[in-house]
Amino acid sequence: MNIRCAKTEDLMNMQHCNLLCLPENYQMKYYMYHGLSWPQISFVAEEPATGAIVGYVLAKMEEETEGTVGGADEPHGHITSLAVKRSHRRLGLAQKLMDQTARAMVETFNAKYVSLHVRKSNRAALNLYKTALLFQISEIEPKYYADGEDAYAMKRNLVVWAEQQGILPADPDSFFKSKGMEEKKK
Amino acid sequence: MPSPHSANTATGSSLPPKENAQFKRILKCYEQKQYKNGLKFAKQILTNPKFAEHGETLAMKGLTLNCLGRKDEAYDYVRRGLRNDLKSHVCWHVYGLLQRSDKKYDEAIKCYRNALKWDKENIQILRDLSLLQIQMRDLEGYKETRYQLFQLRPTQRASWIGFAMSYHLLNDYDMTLKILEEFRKTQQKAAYDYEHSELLLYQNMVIQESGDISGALEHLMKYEPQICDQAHFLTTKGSLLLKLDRAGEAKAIFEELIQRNPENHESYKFLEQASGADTPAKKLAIYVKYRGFYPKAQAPQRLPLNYAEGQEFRDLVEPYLKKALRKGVPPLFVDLKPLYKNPDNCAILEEICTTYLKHMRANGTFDGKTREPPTALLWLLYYLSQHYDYKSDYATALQLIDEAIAHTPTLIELFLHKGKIYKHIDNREEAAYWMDEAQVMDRADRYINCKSAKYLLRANQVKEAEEMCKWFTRGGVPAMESLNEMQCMWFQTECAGAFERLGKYGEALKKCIEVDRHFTEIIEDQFDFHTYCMRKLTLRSYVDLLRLEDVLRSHPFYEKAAFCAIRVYLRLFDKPITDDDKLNEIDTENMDPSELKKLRNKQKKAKRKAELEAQEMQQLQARKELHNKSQKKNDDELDAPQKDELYPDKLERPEDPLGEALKFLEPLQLLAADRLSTHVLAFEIYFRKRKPLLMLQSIKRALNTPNTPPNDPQLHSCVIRFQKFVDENRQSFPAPVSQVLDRETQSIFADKSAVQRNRDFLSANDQSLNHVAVGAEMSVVLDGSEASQKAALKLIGELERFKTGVDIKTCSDIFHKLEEGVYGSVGVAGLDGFRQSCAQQFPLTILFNPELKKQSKTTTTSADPNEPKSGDNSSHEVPDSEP
Amino acid sequence: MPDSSSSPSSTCTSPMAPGSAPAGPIDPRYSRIDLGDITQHNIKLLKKVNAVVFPVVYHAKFYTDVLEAGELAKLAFYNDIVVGAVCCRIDIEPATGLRKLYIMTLGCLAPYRRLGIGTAMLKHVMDYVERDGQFDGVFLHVQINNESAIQFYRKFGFDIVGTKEQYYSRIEPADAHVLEKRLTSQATTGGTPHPPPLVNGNNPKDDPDSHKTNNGHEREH
Repeated sequence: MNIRCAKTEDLMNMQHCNLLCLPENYQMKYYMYHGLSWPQISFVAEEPATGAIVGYVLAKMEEETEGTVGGADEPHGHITSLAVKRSHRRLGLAQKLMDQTARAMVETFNAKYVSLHVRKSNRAALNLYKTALLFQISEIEPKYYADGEDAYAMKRNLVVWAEQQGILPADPDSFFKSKGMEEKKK
Repeated sequence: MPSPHSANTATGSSLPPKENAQFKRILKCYEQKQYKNGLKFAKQILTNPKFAEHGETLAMKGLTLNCLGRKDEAYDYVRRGLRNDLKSHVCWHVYGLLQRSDKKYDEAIKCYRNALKWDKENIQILRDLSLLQIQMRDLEGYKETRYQLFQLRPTQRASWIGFAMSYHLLNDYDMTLKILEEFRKTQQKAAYDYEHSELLLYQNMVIQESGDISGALEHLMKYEPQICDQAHFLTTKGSLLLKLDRAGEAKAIFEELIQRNPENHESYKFLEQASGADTPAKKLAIYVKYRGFYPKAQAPQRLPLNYAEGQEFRDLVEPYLKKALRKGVPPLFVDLKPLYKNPDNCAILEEICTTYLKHMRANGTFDGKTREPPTALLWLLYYLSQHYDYKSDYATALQLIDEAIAHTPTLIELFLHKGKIYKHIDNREEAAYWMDEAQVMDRADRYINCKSAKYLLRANQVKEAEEMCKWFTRGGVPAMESLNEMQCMWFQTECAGAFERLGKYGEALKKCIEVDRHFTEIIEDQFDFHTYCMRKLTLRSYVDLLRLEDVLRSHPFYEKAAFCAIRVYLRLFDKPITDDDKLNEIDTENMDPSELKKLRNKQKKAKRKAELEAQEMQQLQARKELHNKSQKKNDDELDAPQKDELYPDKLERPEDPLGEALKFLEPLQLLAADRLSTHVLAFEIYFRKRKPLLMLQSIKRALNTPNTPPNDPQLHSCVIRFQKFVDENRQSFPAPVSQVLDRETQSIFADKSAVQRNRDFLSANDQSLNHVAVGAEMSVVLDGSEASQKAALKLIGELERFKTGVDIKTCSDIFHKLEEGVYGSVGVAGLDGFRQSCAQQFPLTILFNPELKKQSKTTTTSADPNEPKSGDNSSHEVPDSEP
Repeated sequence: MPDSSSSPSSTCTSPMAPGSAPAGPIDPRYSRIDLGDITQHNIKLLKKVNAVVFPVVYHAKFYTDVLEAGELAKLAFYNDIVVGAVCCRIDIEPATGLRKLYIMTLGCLAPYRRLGIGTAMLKHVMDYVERDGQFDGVFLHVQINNESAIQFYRKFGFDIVGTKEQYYSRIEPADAHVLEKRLTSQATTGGTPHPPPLVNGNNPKDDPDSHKTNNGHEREH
């Protein structure tokens, strides 16, 4: 499958893929909002022969703090939605999509970490985030989903990863500076 | 909602100071959404007899009422206000805002223009006007307005951007670039500045579009350090270098891009180009290299298969297959399917896989060497079943999938595929049954749930499908409503199709219109982004959005809904709904009298139930509206204007069905002009409207669609009927029409009579069932005599005679046409004979082999065949003993 | 829906995989075993496994109980496909008050035997028992001719502690051995040909006939 950055004309097909795969759905305008605010960080997996979108990651940037340590505004990415059609599982698409997103978040927006929510019962997804993508559970958000299920809020640190991968952040000074601070704290 | 007020030009000037202050408070209340307070102040002014007819106050009162959902009163007050003060820019602006909120954009533009006559430099009105102009794509008007805004506010960023963009959208690249460059010079750039980066990339986009490739590259390189969209920078640089024939430098760029994302197919394509790989052999060589670099990546393994043939293909595909079968990659077949276009590949894959199967069954290996996991056999069976399904060898496909299910009855994919095979056999209930089997095995997976719902819709079981969807839709609302709210168009188009087949034309139209409304809504959605993107400076994406919205209805979902709606309107024109119509719609052909009676009873019951439900729905709706109203009263919030309710009973009795059909057709003619079906449907509409010139136009356009051979059966049908129409009605045409027709049909008719044309068509295409079926149909159209009907039936009856077109779909289409009487009464009588010859070709299809119905799995309730009747026993067994 | 007769290799007495496998193990990269929870969303898979592995049909209550069983009921995944399951419950012997774990079912689809899946499931059960620390024993029933099963459990320290005649009513032989692994010293239950009835809760009567009727939980229908 072809993995590439999402274009404006993909947004409708991303919505279609989302409606096929996930219980959390959004109107088109919300997809447009993502595509027009942060065009670099959403990605799609496309079936080359048909052009069908078989998986996508819809992502955004969040500038506000989450009321934790430091207090300073740390730019970070957030995964609004990630889906791969059941018919296209086991190709590692989710991981590949997520890695591209993370890279773009660092390169374009200087994101120091990326966050997401996952259903407590979604064993497969939880496993992917934890083991393959090195997310850590940061907290439990009770009744996060419309049907009353709890969510794990998860985070993945991008600073160390970017360094390992040799990815150059948008603003290296501030990107690596706070990492130094974190290490001091430890 | 923008305000008519702008601080320095507030009017109400004709009022004395006290009233003027009150008027200003109305404006303020409006901005702060305190509508009830606003009305209070308006009342204070208007109750003074001296100002009872004060135009601007009346207008503002109307605008405020509109926000409280009282649209009719709003129009009354605004118009009255305007009549009393035609020279007030406030009144005109208010009228414009009202029309805008009512989505009458053209009218609103006129109002704003009038308002500007009385206040030429009102920034707020100019901004509002510019938004409507861009929304309506009045690009010339937009350019003028942006120019004025630029002149009035030359220090604002948005003034520059809007001014530049207005030229870009008119393809005036030079002017755009001049403005952008002037603007860029004024910008102070921060160390890390995303917005500046976006601006530079927008500038670069315009340079590229102007055709100045080397200029674009120069610009890109000059500002490289300021660009923080690395991926886009590299892709652009690489493709610009390629265009400038600097392949060597480009190659390095694409190598870097592949290193960043080894799954990006475009990068490989570009790399092929940059490496001068113009033969399959050279391309293959590239992939051999990258396969080694990125062993985990899929693309460099898969892409070379596109270029290999024969032994080379075999050598490459074997390890690819083995790896996927071992690992268990469900999409293996989907992945390789495009390679089947080459029949040699298909044969090679079949041979490899059947050999593997032999070994796997005998000793658990692919080739007698390495022991494979038992799941490898499973995936192999799954693959081969799909392979034979692709080849339309359904018996083998079923046998293999059953073997797989016996091996591992817990693998959901197997059931999904079994359902798909039955779909291809056209046993829709049976297909839905197997999808349901799959669906109950993982209730948490919406994908299977959707597939199951889709198959239910294909089997015309709409209620059941809705129940299925309910598992994943918001509680408290009917699933249909929730799916509509979420713009779930796959469901709505499938649903429309089911209703169409069921003869529930009103319901079908309702779904089609709902889909059409989604497209309208998505076009509306642009509105907020006009200002948003100029602020964010994501101008590349914004321009993309504008261009996308221009062709939005070219999306397959619109096409599907529109085709369905047009077919239904044609049907409603041919056979308008009468009240006792409903009972006759269902296929009652193969029912014995007792079954038929049961059906009738069931239908009556269903009808009663539907009526009750409709009543309930209306009550629910009424309650909801009441609720909305009370909510509005509570928090003074503006709700989006209620969409007109769609009533199926009304929809299926249109006054002008062809006119309605044309509304769905127009976007297709504009945006799907390369599709034959667009013009065929256009012909069908104009044929019924008896418009010869438009029929001619449709045929000419159809002839020009790409990949349409001149002997296309659908096109042939149009031409024959057109010629017959012209022949029969020539006398009644006005002279100019006749002249045009004579001139323009020459090349189409070519001095051949319709009868002769059809005869030639039949003999030239006598090996193809598709062609012969249409030719036979046309021969009945041209000559409805019994002898002609008999001849037609004979033509299609001998299926074994044809070399192409004998497939389940074509045959079932013909079957239904015979049934409908398209081939006359002789055709109806010959239905069973045709069925029997189909039965020989397709022994698994229930339509042709009704006796199969009894054995088929057709229940769609999720009853569990394993569920015990009674007892509470358990047993104990041992799974394995270690060697 | 294949029943057990259409897949003969799934009767659990056959320890051998079909065909003669070549020497050498399967590449461990392509042979992964995991255990996972049984949820209301996937319980149908447990039913599918039971339907082909065991010659009996389970009552709906069996499945509702399993949903509450937590770690005592698990699905076994082989390369992410469900191929087996283990379901246990906690039993208090009415006569002695001993607290034991009863393995109601432990089984795996025929093509996946001898791959370590049964071991993984039993190990999970034994780990649970050990962590808990309060069990007097773990026991189960096996058809008397099921040599491979008996062998299998012996390796984990189980012994035949009794035999129940006519335990099964629709399969031959109908007798079942009781296999138990004792974890504490137990006073009275061992060695008798007819151990106390292994019923859940309130029927302590040692009456073989009662097992033929309705409340013997651990036998066939």
